[in-house]
Amino acid sequence: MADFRKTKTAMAEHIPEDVMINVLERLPVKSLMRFICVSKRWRFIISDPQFAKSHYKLSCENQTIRRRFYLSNSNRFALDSLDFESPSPLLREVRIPFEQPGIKYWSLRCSCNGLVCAVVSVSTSAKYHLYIWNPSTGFLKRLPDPSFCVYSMSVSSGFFGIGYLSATDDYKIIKPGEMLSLRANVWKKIHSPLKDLYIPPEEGIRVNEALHWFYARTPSIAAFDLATEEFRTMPLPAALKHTYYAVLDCSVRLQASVGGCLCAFDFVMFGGSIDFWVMREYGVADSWAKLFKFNVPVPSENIYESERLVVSDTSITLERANVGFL
Amino acid sequence: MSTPAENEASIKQESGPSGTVQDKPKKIVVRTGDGEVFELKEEVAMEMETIKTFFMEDNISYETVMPLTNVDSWELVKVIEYCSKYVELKNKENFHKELKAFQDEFVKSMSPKTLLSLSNVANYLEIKYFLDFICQAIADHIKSKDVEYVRELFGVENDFTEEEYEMAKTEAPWAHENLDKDLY
Repeated sequence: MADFRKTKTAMAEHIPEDVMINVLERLPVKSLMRFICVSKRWRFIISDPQFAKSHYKLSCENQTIRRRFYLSNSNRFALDSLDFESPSPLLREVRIPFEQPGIKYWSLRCSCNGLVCAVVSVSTSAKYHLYIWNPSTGFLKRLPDPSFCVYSMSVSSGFFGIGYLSATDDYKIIKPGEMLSLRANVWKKIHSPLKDLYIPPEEGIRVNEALHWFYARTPSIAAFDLATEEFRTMPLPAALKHTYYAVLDCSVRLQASVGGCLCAFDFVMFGGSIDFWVMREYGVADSWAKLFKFNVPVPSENIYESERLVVSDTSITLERANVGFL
Repeated sequence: MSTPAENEASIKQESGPSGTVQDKPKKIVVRTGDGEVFELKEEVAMEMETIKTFFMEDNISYETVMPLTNVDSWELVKVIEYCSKYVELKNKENFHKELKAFQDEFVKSMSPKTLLSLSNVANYLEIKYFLDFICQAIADHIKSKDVEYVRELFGVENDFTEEEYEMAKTEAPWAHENLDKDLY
């Protein structure tokens, strides 16, 4: 009775490659980055973009994606990477891969699926450079310079967003006046019916393959649809619409809930209470519902503060971050 | 242990006049690579695509003993244990919770070699949920292990030169550090 498995060595049991790939798809990124050193075949499999896609998909389904926070470091050219989810959080220093002569300042503007978009201002150029970086794998790609740099010397101005469009398996980056698809690798002019000046210089919130910002003009929500590449507005809950907001003093924050719904809450700079709203049905004005209200202590420092509410199944955390230039 | 001939005889008895067959739960008989014969409940056997296809595709009678040459008896015992439990829990309310408790117990004292053997069997018998479960268990086992360990376990030959290996390491040097401490 011939049995192919009986020819295995004493130690090892040979398993077919597709079973091996099933195992690899379940490994965390750090293990995968180590196992590219196992053999040339393993490196080939792990480096394959198809594999990265199925690995990411499985991580999302099993909710094993680790969230990391990148904090500024005393070293101008590095970040501290912090994993909140491990019981004893490990701080790891990560050097920026786009350090170059004449670098003035840089910041991470937006992120999606582990990819980060970094903006770098260099003294030798009026324009700023853009990079796509995956801090977990080290992947780095310089993007073509954007055409419009309205505030050419100021890296932080203008809204920014990055999103993934599943239909074309593509990432798109949007900034005032133009958009770039990672696949096309060219900036394309975007004609928007909205006034860019009324959109705060922040990262767009991703829900339903569209990016969202608070729009101070109406006030409402400015949404950029990644598929149609068009801007439109969406209504805010009535209770949050009654006051006029200046753009940089905007009092309404948006974010995505764990379940993928758009949420809005008032931003409280000097302490007070927060009303947290969720849009239960995307695009339906009537579906805005107030989830809860709670009190926030007065902060001790008032540099430009950014707040975020992190809502998980078991806890609600209010994060405060001091944002400044590195 | 009954001989195949005896077993076939007893099966013939069971599938007598149509009246009596309806009362008895249907059984499927298989023979493992090491010569042992197993009787499986139909509902459990049908969880294994390979067995299901064998009988369903050409309408083969359940009197036939299906050979499973690539499966050892101890492996089949484990597979039956898992699939029977899965079928039992499938429609229950606490399915996920109870399955998780069972899964933890199931792999508790299994060696990595055992897991690899079972992954081969799960693949051969085409039991998707069991294969995914075993692969997850293997992944959990190797995730904090170093390159050498993984090569030995899977019998993979190192085809890098020393230089090439060092180059590959530099792609992510941090991935080779803190292997015990971290809980990735």
